[in-house]
Amino acid sequence: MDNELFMNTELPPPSEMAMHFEQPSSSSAMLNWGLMDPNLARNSPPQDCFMWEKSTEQQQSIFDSALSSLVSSPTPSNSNFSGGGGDGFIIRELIGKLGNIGNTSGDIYGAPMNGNVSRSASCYATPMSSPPPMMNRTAPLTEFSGDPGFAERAAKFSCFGSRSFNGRTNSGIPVNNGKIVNSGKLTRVSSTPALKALASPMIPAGDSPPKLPGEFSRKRKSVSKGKSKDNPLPAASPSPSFSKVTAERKEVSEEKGGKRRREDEGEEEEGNKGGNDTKPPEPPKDYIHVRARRGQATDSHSLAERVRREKIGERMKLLQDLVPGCNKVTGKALMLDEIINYVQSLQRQVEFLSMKLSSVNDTRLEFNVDALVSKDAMISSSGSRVHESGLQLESLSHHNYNNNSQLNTNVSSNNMMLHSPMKSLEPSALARGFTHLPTLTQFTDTISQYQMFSEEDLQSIVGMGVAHNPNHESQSQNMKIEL
Amino acid sequence: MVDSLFPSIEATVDDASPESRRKRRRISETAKETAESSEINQESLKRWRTNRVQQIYASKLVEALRRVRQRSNDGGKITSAAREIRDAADRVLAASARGTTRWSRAVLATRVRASLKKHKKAKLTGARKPRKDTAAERKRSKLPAVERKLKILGRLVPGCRKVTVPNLLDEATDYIAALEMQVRAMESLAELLAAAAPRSMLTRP
Repeated sequence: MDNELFMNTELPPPSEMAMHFEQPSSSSAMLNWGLMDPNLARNSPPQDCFMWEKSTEQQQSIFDSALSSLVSSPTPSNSNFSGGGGDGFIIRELIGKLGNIGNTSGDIYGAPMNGNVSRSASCYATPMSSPPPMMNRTAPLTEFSGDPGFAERAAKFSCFGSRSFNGRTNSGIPVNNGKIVNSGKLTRVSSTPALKALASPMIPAGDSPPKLPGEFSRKRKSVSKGKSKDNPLPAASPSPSFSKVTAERKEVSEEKGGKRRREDEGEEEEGNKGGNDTKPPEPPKDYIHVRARRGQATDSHSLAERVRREKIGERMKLLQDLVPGCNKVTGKALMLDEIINYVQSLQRQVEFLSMKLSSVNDTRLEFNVDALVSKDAMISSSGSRVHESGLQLESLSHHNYNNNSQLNTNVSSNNMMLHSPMKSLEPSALARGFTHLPTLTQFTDTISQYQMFSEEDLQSIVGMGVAHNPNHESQSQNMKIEL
Repeated sequence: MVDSLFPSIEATVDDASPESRRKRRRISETAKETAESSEINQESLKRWRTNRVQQIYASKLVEALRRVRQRSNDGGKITSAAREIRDAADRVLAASARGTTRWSRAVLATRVRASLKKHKKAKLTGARKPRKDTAAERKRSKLPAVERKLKILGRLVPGCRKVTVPNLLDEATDYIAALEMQVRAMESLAELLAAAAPRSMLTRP
């Protein structure tokens, strides 16, 4: 049935909105009224429906008259019905009447409305004309906007009213809903200057009307994100961007054929900024503040996207510096290709080197550390160490593990006292089997000791590799070529 | 004194050998990176390039190698153990990261899990689905090329499959820096051992 209702809609976005309005319908009073037969007692339902209005007797009489006209209209409208326009007009006039409620004087529209039941153009015109005069008193419209659920409820009312009309296609209803909402926002309805003048005072009036058109925007999922991102953003630079956005918004409202999404997002952002204006001294949290650059869209969505893109771009730049040969490549895809290739090549290198190390390990039985220590001694040219370690190296060549442990202790006598804890480590590590984590913790212990004592030694271990480069350049080059 | 060896060596080596080129670029890069604004990446890149880290890694690697060798000795088998060494090296690398990065934690975690679950079983069950229609699939999902490449990168970096894009790039940066350091350390170690080998071979009867 809903689809039926919206099938003939000329404006798809208002249909979206209408659907949105219908879905969160929670006011049971409205539902009841919609489901009830419109020809039932008219007094009680309007009271239920319009309890939210400031009801004076005069207004109730207006309600009654409106309702009666509404209720009585189906029969003439059924006869005059031409493609679903009639319902819309009725609704419109009803809404005009409802708009009347906010007025202190409710006499303005009583007479003309009653006479325009089945007129198309005039009915269309009257709600148009109704807001501008109302705008002269900003109070009623602020009341409009001040009532947070006004437009919603009006929309629901109209929707259910249309339902009660045997589910006639209400092409007018979505239009009307749009108008209801825009009576608060006044962007889509017309572009009279009065509307625009109203727009700016509307901004700080409340967040709810701006939020309603925010529901129009197709990118609904990023609404909240944009809002959350946007809230601290204006806090950093409230006034200039605010004025810029208001200017933009006015431009937006001026152009009739402007992009609807842009309008909505501008309005939404307006709402956000309006909300922020209410709390200006909000401290910036852990958001990164981005100022909208000149010539770029200031929508919340695009701002958030820009932040995200910049983050990614930063990291890509760093990766570009890291990966060789990426300077000439531009574009994320190609750079990612290069990065992937580089990571794969590095991993392959590690595999190759591990193979090499394993072969080196297997062929010789003497222990690396001692050999390294000896080399280290040679490189560091601390004479005392050289001879001892050299001797140890030769004596090491045939020794198995036990002997080497002794030699470890010998070596430790030099200055690597950490070997003894290492020696104690190894049998325990072996005895424990394949528990890697405890050994790693033990490593950290030894490492701390390493740091205490043998920084020079360990430096030289790697430093030897470095130092050997001048000597073994050819070897290293050959290694590279192999790779 | 040995500390001074590092910068002097790096400065004096002027060849076109890749390693020296890498080291020269390392110096310039560290200088460049200090000027950069992003703290995390900068810090991670510098981290993997300090002497201290290299020392720590080298010592740990040495220890791991020793343990691997002893294990193979005791076991009696003189298998190639290349994988063991590579795993040990990766583990040691991850340990050097001190758990600050995601991939390091994943590497350590997989090691524990593998040792508990008997390596091969885990590998067999965790194997990916064999995809035969890779070409067709590529055509189908051709549109987000960048996204596909990001996925591939996520698969390459351990433990980063379901990670957001900026985090993935961060992890990749750190991983690349760590891998570079690993390669350098292992190269130098292999060189040393290879250099030491002939001497010991000579002394052997």
